[in-house]
Amino acid sequence: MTWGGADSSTLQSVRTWWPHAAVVVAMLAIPFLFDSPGMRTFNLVLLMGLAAQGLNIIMGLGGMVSVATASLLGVGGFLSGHLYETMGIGMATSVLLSAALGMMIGVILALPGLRLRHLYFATATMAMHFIIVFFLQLIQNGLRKGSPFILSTAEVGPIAFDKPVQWYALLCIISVIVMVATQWIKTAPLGRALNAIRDDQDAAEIAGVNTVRAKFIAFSISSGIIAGIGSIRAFYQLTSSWEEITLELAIQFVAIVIVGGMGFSYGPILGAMLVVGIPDFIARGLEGSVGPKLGSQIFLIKNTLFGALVIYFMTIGPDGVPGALRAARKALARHWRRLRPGAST
Amino acid sequence: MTTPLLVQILVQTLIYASIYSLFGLGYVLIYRASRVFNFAIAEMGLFCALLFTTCFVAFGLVWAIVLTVIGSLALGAALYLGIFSRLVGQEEWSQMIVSFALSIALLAVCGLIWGTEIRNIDVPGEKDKLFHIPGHVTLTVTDVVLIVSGFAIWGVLAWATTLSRLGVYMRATAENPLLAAQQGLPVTLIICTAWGVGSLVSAVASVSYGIRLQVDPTMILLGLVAVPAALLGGLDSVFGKLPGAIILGAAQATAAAFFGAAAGDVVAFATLLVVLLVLPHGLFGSKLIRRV
Repeated sequence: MTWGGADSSTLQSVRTWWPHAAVVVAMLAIPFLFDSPGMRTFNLVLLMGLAAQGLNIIMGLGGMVSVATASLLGVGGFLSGHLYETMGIGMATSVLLSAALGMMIGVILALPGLRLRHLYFATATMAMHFIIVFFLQLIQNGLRKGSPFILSTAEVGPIAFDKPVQWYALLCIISVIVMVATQWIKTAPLGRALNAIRDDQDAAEIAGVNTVRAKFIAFSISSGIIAGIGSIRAFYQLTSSWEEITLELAIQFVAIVIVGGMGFSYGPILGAMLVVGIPDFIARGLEGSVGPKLGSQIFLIKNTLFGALVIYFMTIGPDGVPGALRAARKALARHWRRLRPGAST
Repeated sequence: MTTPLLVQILVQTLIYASIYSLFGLGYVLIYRASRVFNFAIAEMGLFCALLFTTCFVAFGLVWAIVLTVIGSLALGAALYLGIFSRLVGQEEWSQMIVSFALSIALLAVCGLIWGTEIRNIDVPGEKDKLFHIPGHVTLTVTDVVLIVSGFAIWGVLAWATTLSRLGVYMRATAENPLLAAQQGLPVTLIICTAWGVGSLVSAVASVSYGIRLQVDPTMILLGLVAVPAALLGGLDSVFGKLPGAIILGAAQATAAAFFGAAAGDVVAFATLLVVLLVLPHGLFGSKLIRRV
């Protein structure tokens, strides 16, 4: 049982236009269906999904589980916060600079990836997470005397982004760009090299794949995307602090990628919707009906729901939700054939 | 370096080492029997420690110990039967992510049941009675009990998992569950035992740390820092847990003595990174020979 080749086992093999059209229609319809708090949930989902998209390059294509995602988000957020406070540099420039810094850190992250595999690699990235967060803490203590970086409303050109709907539109556009880029990487030589590494690294090496080069490039692209998203995230939240860069956040990204289906282009957004969006909606609903007296309990309820959902989605099948959908489609097709024995499908 | 500081670091090393080796044993027992690296060990320990505080207030020390032992064994077995037995045969990382998700959920559930405030366990007797050892360093009774029990449990488990009959069964189950079942081994029972004992040792670590200081959700960091200890000694080596924990404890105690507690945790992870880059399977881990 493998995760299968990208083109045979994911929903992508559906080479028809309607799934993409359905996604576009849903994206356009959402602003008309939800109010501001609802839009905030979708923005959170898109932000988480975008960062998970970056992680998907090394995890979905290359099969290397990394828990350093949250710390890279923090790096992007910190750089943006510092640049904004000292020089007033805006979001567009900040994102590019953060991405460049992220790419450099990605090269360092690739080093344990050259030697370690699977669980050992995941634990090494966990070590990286704690080391990076420790440095972020030192930087925050040094530059800000421990208080978080404060940013102000992002302005791109003439537009000031201060409404959730505006952010939603911006994040949708960025999602499309990142999704197309990862789709391109998947079919490019780099993507094929990563797939070979995921299926069997030793065999890939023997077959002439330059695994070292592929890993370095994949890690720097992935880390660059994540740090860039970290910068956007900082402008969205208007603050940036080491305290929010928790291991739990890092784990959420890994869960999003796996639940959404490894290597599946819509996977990160789907996964984010399922394991971050649903708990957020339920928690908001509870807050609305029970009232604000729940306080910090809301956070605990959200985490419980997150954990329960991930465990549930993992127990229904090894390929995440797309795998389950595929199985359901096959079962339906079988059922259909049985009903009409003469028809060919 | 002055002598008192050196002795202080040594004592701290022993305390850290016994806690980490206990948590590390929790990781490795479960890994050996079911090939699951269970990141939720720390949260399972926290759950048991909180259970202990409640039982201690309600029924007293003896019943608290009895109920916590039963509770921790049941918790481990229930988690395996309820969740991880359904994941048998899945990729290593999908089981890992389930244990991560479990750790987040379990921590939140602990918060929902017991709240997040700090709890103290006031064990009757002279738990704070001091031992003076040369070099002006003092040890409380709790420290001594912790160190001795940590080393003793490591010794018993190192014997039980390598030489005893149960250990052989466990290895057989991990190696090939199907063949083991065909040989008539109660595979599910063996794996449940491993999960139960893994849960129990983490409960011992958490409760003794709780008696020494306090019980609160930040305790889970101990279990996380024990991950380097588990990998340092080699993931599948029970014997390697104590040497791994001592190296880690020494690095951490030294860093904490000079740069503060926060630096200690980071140095633990940095040590892991360095050791893994040199020895990818840890100090005592069995080398995996791969055929292409």
